[in-house]
Parts: sequence; C-alpha cells; structure tokens
Amino acid sequence: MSTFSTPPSDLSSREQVRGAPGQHDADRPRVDMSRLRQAKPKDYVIRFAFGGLVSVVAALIGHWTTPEFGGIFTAFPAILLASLTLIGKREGDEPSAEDAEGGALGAIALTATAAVITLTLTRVAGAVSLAGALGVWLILSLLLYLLAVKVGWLHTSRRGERSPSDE
Amino acid sequence: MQLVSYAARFFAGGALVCVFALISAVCTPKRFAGIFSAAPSVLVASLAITLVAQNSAKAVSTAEGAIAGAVGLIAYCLVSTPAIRRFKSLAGSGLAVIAWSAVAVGMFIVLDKVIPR
Repeated sequence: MSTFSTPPSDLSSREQVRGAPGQHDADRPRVDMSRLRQAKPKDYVIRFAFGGLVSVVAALIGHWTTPEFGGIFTAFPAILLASLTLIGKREGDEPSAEDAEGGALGAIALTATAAVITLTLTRVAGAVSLAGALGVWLILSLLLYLLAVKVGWLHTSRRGERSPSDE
Repeated sequence: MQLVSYAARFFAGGALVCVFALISAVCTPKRFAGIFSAAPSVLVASLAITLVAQNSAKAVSTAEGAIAGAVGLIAYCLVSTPAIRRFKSLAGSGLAVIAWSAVAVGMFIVLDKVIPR
C-alpha cells in the first residue's frame, strides 16, 4: 500500500500532514456538476468504443475457450488505460497517477463484487444479484476511500487537484 | 441471434463505461474520482446480456473468471501509479498491463484449483 502516498519520514511530519489546515477538506469526497461542462464528447466516444470492444472481446474469448477464462477479460483495464491516458493528456501525469491510486480501491471492491455475483446469481433473480452487487461495489468503494484517507494511505496534494477554472 | 447478442454487449458495455466515466468526471478529489475508473461496468453489462441470451450457469462461470481479472486490476493500479510518475501516462499505464496479465492469469490458475466444479 506504500504506493498510495508519499509517506512522511517521521511521526511529527505525519501529524503535520494530517493536521494541516484544510487537509480534511481537500480529501473529502465532493460532487461538482459544473465539471460536466468541460466534458469533451470525443473522450466519451473513445471510452464508449473501448467499453464496447472489451465486452465483445471478453465474450468471444469466453466462446472460444471457457466462460471462466473469458470472464477474466471483463476486468481488463482497457477503460482505465483509456482514462489514464486521456487524463494524462488533458490534465497531466500527476492527476493521472492519482486516478490510478483511487482505481486500486475500486478494483478491490470489484473483486468483492464479482465474488458476490458468483455466490448469489443462482440463488436470487439475476437483476437482483447484479443490482445488489453494484450496491456492494459502491458502498465498499466509499468505505475503502474513507478508510484510506483516515489511516493516511491517501492524501490529496493541492497541486494535484485542479479546479475547473484552472483548466 | 449471436450477432445481436454481440451488438447488445457492445452497446451495453460502452454505455455503462460512459455512465461511470461521467460520474468520475463530476467527482473530486482525483483519487476519489479514480474509484469509478475501476467500476464493474463491463462485468455488469456482460453478465446482464449473458443472463438474457444464455443462462445463469454461464454467467456464474464468467463472474468466477472476473474475480481473477479484478485481482489483476488491483495489481494494475498499484503498478501503474509509480509507472505513470516515472514513465508518463501512456507508457506507464501501458506497461502496467503486463502486471494485470501476470496476476490475472496466475489468480485464474489458483481459483481453477480452489473453486469446485
């Protein structure tokens, strides 16, 4: 987990980071709808194509080999690869690296989601299983993020966080 | 019929990826937004189509494989973070695919022995 942040070298500096004015505010999850205005349609066309392509390729591999082996590719990082590259191009490498750090938490929750689906799909209706698993992913991701911030695995640097007016 | 199923997978997968990308775009800080880059968009879209076009047994098998792929995705993120800082976004995130492949296939082999068929 050491890749989540650059750890302060001693306890006092760690406390300084945790206690830095406004640090909790910087790490607090927020929703800013005004960022939608910056959305570039071309980026979403690329993401749509990547998502669609990975879905089809995973199904084809499952058809040619086994459904289990094809299933691996439903978690292929093509979308992450596209996102990180687009963020790197538009905002810089540091925001891209920070996006990947958050992605690790989402991926941990994704593992749990796949396990929940495996365990529930034959026991309850398919729609209930998938909706429940999405709920598990969302709640677990949020809890992991809050935990990671609380124990110091994640700290948002002010230089890494851009406001819409910066761009 | 099979062509329709693949077309449905393409549109469902692409649409869900865009939905989560839009959620990620409005979220801040960047590390929090990053969570949505690893959302189960392709997994859920694929399983929904498999349930409609095939059966739940095939969907369960696909989900079992997805566990291995998701563990590989954790490795991908852990490797890509320092790799991006060292080699830039495109090269760093591209190189990390090697980590995903190794861990996902390794985990698949382990799970294949552990999960009873």
